[in-house]
Amino acid sequence: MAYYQRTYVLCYFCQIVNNKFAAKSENNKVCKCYQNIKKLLSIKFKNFIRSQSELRRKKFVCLIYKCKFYVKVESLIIEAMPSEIITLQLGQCGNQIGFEFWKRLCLEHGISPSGVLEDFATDGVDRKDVFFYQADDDHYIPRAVLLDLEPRVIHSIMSSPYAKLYNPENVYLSKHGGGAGNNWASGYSQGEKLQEEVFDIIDREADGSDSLEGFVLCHSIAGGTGSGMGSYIMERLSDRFPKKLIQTYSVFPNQDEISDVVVQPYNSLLTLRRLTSCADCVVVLDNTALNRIATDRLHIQNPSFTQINTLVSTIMSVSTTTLRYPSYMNNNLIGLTAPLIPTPQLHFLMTGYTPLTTDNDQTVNVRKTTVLDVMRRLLQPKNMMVSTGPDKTNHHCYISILNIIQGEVDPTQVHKSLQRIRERKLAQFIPWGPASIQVALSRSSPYVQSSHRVSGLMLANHTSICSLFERALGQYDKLKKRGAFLDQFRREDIFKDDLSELDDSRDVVDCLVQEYEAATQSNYLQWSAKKGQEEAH
Amino acid sequence: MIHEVLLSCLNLQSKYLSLEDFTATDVSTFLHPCEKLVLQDIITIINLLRDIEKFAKVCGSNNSVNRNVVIFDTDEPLQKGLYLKAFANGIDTVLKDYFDNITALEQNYLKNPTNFSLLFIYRNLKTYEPLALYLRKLIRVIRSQKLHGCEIMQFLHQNAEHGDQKIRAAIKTLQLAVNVVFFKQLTHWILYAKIIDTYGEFFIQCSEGNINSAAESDTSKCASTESGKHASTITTLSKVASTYADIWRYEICYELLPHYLPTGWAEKVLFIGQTILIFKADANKHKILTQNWSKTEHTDLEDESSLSNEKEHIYFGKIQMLQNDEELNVQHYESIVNEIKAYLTTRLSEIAINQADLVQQLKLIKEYFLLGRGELFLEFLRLTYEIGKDKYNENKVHDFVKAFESAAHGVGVSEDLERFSLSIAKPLMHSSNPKELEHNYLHYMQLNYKINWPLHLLFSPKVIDNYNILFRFLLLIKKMQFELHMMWCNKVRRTKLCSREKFKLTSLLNQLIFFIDNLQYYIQVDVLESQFSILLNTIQNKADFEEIQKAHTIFLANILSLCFLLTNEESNKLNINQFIVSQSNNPIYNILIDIFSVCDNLSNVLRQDLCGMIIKDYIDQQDERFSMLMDQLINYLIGLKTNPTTTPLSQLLLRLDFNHWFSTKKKKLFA
Repeated sequence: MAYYQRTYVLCYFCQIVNNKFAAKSENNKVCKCYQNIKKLLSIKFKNFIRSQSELRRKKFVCLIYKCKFYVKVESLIIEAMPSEIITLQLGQCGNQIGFEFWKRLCLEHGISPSGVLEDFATDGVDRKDVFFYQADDDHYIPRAVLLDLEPRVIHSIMSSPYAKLYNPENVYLSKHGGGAGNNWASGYSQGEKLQEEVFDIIDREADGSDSLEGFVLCHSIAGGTGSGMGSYIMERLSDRFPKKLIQTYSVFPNQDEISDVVVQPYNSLLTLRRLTSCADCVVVLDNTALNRIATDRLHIQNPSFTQINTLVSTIMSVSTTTLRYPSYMNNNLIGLTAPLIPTPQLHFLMTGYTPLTTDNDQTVNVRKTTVLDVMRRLLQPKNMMVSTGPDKTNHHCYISILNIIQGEVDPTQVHKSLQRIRERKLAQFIPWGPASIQVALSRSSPYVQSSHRVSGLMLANHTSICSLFERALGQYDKLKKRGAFLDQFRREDIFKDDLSELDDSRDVVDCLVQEYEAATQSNYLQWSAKKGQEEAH
Repeated sequence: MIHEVLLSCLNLQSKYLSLEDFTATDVSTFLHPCEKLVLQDIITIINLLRDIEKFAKVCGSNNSVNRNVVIFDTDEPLQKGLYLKAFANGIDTVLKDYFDNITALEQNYLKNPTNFSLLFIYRNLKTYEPLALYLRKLIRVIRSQKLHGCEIMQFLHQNAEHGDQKIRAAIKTLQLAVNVVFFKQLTHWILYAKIIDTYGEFFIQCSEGNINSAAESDTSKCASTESGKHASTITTLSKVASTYADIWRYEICYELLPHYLPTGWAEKVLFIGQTILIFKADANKHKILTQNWSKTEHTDLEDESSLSNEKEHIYFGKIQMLQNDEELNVQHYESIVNEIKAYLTTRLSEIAINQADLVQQLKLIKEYFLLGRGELFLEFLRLTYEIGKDKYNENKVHDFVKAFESAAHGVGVSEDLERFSLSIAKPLMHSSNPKELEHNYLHYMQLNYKINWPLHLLFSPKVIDNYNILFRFLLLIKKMQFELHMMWCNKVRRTKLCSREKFKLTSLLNQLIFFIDNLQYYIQVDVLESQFSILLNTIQNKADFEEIQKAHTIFLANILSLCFLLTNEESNKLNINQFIVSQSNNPIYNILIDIFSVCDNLSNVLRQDLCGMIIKDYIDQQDERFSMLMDQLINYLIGLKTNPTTTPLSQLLLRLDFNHWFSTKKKKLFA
């Protein structure tokens, strides 16, 4: 899109030059003619540009920038590209869920695996340009950057039918291909070494978008690349783009099975610190809960990665529907996150989705679901994609809730459902500020057939998420007490002198847990202010 | 002498009544004093009749030569009018019986002159006296009250019931005569939407003159076929466009509407005419097109018949029947008008739904006027964020319009720009102070919408104005939300709550964001989506255009009132800076505007880099103000909750006070 718009302006600009008009006096005309030219010359001019010699093309590029300049001077912003989002996929897990996410987006927007718009999808009302951009040859290219230190997953992506979808320049594999060995420190220091190359890609991508709104990071917190390199990149991103939002989809490790990554507690803790301080919004995808949902709710004995990833891609795609389709609210990332996050530290979100069905299990009786059913089910802990463990003291509460509901919804039902939920006290809310269930009715893709009449996703800020962090702390303490596996960390630069980084991280996460606990109390705001002052002194 | 009397009776139009001479000096020589009195009485009656006849003559004649004759010296001449003429002609008919009688009398007299006495003539004349008196009374009233047009009908109807058979029959005759004119005009209006009313007598009137615009465009159209087509086509097209606006110029003139006809009926008649007018405008357009391509005349007929399917003659017959109906049965009037209207509206709704894609148009209206496309307006606000702060200048208006267009390009809805365009009514520079102008550009903004034929009946200029009121209100909320989000992004995100003012700010912003978000959810989901689904259901279930129109009116009224925008006052302006001045009737609306001003002030202060203390004080101040306003609002809403008619407001209360925070806070405050 951006490319075309430049060409239109350029096109007119060339006309002006050709007609020997003074360019400056014609600026208003640029805009006036803009629409006409768009109609008349969109195809002709593209061919014209292509047919030009290399030298002349370069001249045109110069003209483009001149023209852009004039336009900006006149504050007539011709190139408008609302709230683009760049997706970064890091490590094995990050690339896998990212890949599923893009597959899903292509399906929903009617884009073929090679990036060409399908015939049936030409007159859609969706906003593809938030996540995609259009290349000169009409191909849709994801604003995605794929990073990994080992080639396995990326190779499998590049050998899939979707290989042509990605911009090959945005795929970065470290040259040695050895990976990070599931070591956070290794990933972190490799990230530091490779930062120039990586940020070349990110900067180029950011320059290509006109009003970049933020970054979405997909990674796991347990491994080496996603956690370590992810942490490093997050830190740099928040330095380099302080005004841009950073949202992450962070996969938390499965607690029910014994992990092959022994240093997982270290990795998790170190990543959690960065997620606390550098990210604006973390959507927690808990593998424990995902596996539990797959076995309990979907009745799959041994859920495979693909099945789990389908769940994840559903969550990721639905949570972005209000950005990708016309809707009255939550049209950008800020609009989506700001209401959910009342105080800056409490930015870890849980998700829930209903109805959950697998492909071979379409005929369940969820067809007659109503809005109330969906909203009630979303509040049940068993549908939550985060395993918080039993809340014995029953003091945890919701800080904020956003339900994104798709399908045939009778809008008058929304109020009734809200009323019912309040009457039955199905959700406990914070006592220190206003909170409610916000319900966004969103469109869904016309190209993906759903067997469900109504479906809903919940994004919730709930204090019980701290049990996840408590668990991570506990595991860390066990391991640290024994001083186990610290040698491989000491090998890297960041731990060369001492292990204070680990202790600092522990403090940060511990503070976070305390903050969440405090948020269940009515004097949270005073507590938080007092704590802030103590820290300042 | 008897003959002389008879002749005077017949010749009521002579300039001078020679019979009066007899009453003078020397009559006593051959008249008995009694006879003299009888003669005087006869003369009185004749004079009565003469007056009436004179009136009939003056008002009923076609040529305007003796228009200037002043019948009663004190009176000014009556306004010309077809109804008056018909009335006068009716009097002629009524008097015909009298003339016949007198003529017969004269014949008898000529045959047998001796048998006649003055008394005999007097007896004959006397039978007409009550009639004459009554007629003169009518004439006097018409004269003194200067009754005009349809008022005469009303007046006749009032006086129609009279005990005397003769008089009743006479009035009926008069009524019939006047009704002929009325029904002629009615037929023209109902079937062809033309008003043939040179004297402004019909109860449907075209304001601002220009009554003959339709006729004019007709004539010019005819001219265009003959002469150079291209130039004149353009002019006719513009005329056709102007007829769209014209239809709203036709109004019911209630003073002229006879009281025995209900106003509902009159509105229906007006509606029928307007509908036909719309169709005619389109037919003209088609005609011009077809004329440009080929000069075949068949297509024209098809176009015209597309509305009424050549059923005009049936309805014409029915209206004729009404005309001959002596009883003036209002029910018949209604039934026939209803029948025509039902037929028309069904046709119209078919056309509206099938051809004009009504549902799609309504959805578009919702997306634009009611901000269904939030991303477009978010982008628009983002683009105008900087422009809005600049000083007012000439280019600013231009910049806004451009920003809207580029926002539309940005979100990929450029095609809809053909239908919607933003314009800013230029505020009067000198009248208001410049500071006010800087922020209140929103106030002058309006969306223009190109209406699909024949939906002009649905979206009258008034309706579009109302939509614009909603549009500005919703855009204002959106703007507040955008500014709050900007503040959140710049001041709260990724910071530690390290100082008291930071903490205060975070908490205030959190509450403001919560408030604005929930207000928007309330408006968009609870009000707009719900009401819109009701409207769409009606359209899908009913085939009648009138029902659609009604449903649409209800929809608009409901959303206006539920968005707190329905006030009696005309000067209901979205003025965020002068909130004290703009006192509207709706208390909730006032509170909302006050809360917006809190947002606005906060963002203005945070934008400047002031030192900590000032900001802290300011935030405290705004925080206090906000909690006070919220308190008021919650109070109002709780107060209204008990009222069953305001259930929608409890929806807003539910959303705002979902976790009982605001209400418990209030309790604590008072405890």
